[in-house]
Amino acid sequence: MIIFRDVSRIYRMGDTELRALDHANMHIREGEFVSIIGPSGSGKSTLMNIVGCLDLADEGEYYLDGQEIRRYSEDALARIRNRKIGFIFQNFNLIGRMDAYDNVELPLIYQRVPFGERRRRVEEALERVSLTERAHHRPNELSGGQQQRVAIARAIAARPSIFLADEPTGNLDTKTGEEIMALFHELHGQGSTIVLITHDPSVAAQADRRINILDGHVTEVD
Amino acid sequence: MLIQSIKMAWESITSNKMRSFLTMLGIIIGVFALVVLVSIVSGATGSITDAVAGLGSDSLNVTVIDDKGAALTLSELRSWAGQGSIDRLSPTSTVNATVRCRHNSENANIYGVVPEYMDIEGLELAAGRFLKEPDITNSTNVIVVSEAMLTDILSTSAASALGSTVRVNGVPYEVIGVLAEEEDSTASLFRMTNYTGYIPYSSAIRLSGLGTHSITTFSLSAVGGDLDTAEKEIGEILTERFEGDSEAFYVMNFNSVMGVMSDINGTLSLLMGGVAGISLLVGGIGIMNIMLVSVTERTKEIGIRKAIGADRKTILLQFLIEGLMVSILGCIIGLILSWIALRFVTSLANNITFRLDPKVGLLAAGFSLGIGLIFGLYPANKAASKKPIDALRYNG
Repeated sequence: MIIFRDVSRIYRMGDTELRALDHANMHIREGEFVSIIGPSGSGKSTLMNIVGCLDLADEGEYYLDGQEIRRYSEDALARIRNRKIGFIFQNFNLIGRMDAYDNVELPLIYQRVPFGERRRRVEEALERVSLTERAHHRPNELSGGQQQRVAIARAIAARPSIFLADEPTGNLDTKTGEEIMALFHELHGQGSTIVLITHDPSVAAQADRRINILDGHVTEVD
Repeated sequence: MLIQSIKMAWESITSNKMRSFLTMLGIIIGVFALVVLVSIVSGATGSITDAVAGLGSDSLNVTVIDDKGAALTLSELRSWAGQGSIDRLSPTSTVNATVRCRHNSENANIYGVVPEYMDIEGLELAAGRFLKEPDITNSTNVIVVSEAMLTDILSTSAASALGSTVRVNGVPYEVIGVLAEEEDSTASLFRMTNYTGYIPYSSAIRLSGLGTHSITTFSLSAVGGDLDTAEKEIGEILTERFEGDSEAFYVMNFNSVMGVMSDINGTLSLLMGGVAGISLLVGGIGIMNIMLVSVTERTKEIGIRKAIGADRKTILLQFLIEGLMVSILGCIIGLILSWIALRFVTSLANNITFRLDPKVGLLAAGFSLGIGLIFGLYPANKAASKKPIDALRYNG
């Protein structure tokens, strides 16, 4: 599913070279629920950006679904993100001018899903996060937990290969955070692959498997 | 995809109505200025051109400045008839006279002409007859009066005026015909006076008291209305007649006057259009300005869209459509406003109709569309080129 082989991401500032990722190796299989844990500045975000095809590795190989992610064009990467990655961000990243329904519909528009099917999939996704009644509320009319559920519905509707969640509970209170985690467990139970990036050990512990990251070094823990 | 982009552009425009309106204002004013100015110019010059045309575009008017000591006679004039495109000729000796009938007395233009004049100018009679050849040979004191002279000086009906007597500079003349009212009333605006009378050419010479028989002004018509050829031919004849001096006479061709008029119209329209075009351009820069702000403001949105799979083209299209939509809406509002304004101006100006020329409307629409496209392209491209990670990180 996801294979990293000696992946490095190097930032250069003048003469100094910073290896945000240093020869990272990891393997995430289909249907797994994996957490990637590390303190801030450990290279978590860099890892997440590369896994999410938002950024490219400078060295090494990255395979997603058996396809090597290389220096494709921006548009090709956009297509891969569109079809294979379901992002769930810490700050939800919903479009404020659009209501919940339109936000969930957006990736399907980019996938060119025909209108009827699109509508069915959007309604189904909102149903799964129990937000059918809030479909026509804008993000600023929803609570943080509800906003994150809209973001999850947006990922669900796109039917991605992996759900890539970056600190999904970071901006939520404990109780709401638990509700969101319950949703991830439910998705996992239905066979989805979930990669969850966090600095919180108690959240990380809920995954099947943990991957530690520290100063750009990745160590897999079973 | 296109429908979705249009829907999104519409949502974005309506989500900030005040700003969208202010952005549109430049285009509205530009289109308004373009359409109204060009329509008013072409309306005004159009009506002047019509008036000039009404004055008589079917004839050439010749003024002899220097007859080289040899008087131009009527028989000489008539001998040119039928040469090439020259059809008929008539002297038009003008006498400024006081016309009196009972207690009414007015200044009038009295023309000494020959029977051919009726055909040359295409005059129409309301009653009676025009001058006939014996009137010329006998220098009879008969007069054909204009409708205005009939009502204001004779103050009687056309039928009962026939046979009555008017005094022209004290000399009694018998009224033998009354002209029909001129259809184009604007043409008469350009004449000094509407009081016009036609008397035999020979009689006019006597009336003027100059005793000269040299013709200094005459009109002629052209075969098939081909004035330009006739102008050339009469010019050749006259140059030969006046010892090769082409400056000895002057030919006035209403056709060339009309040509000049339409040139003036074209130049004025172009000038006004240019001025209005500049304001449209300024409107376009306004669009670009606001769209650049909007792109910066929506950096995060662009980042989100790109993260979930929008490619360059999609983002480009979205912002381009937004810019186009603003300019199209502005153009429509501008066209509606100019239509209203032209109706208003028309109701103020009597006699002149200012129409919204569809060609001008199309030009304005095309121009504002082009401006929306050109000035929308740069901000749209800027939006489309944003890197998703940088855009996502942006906190504005």
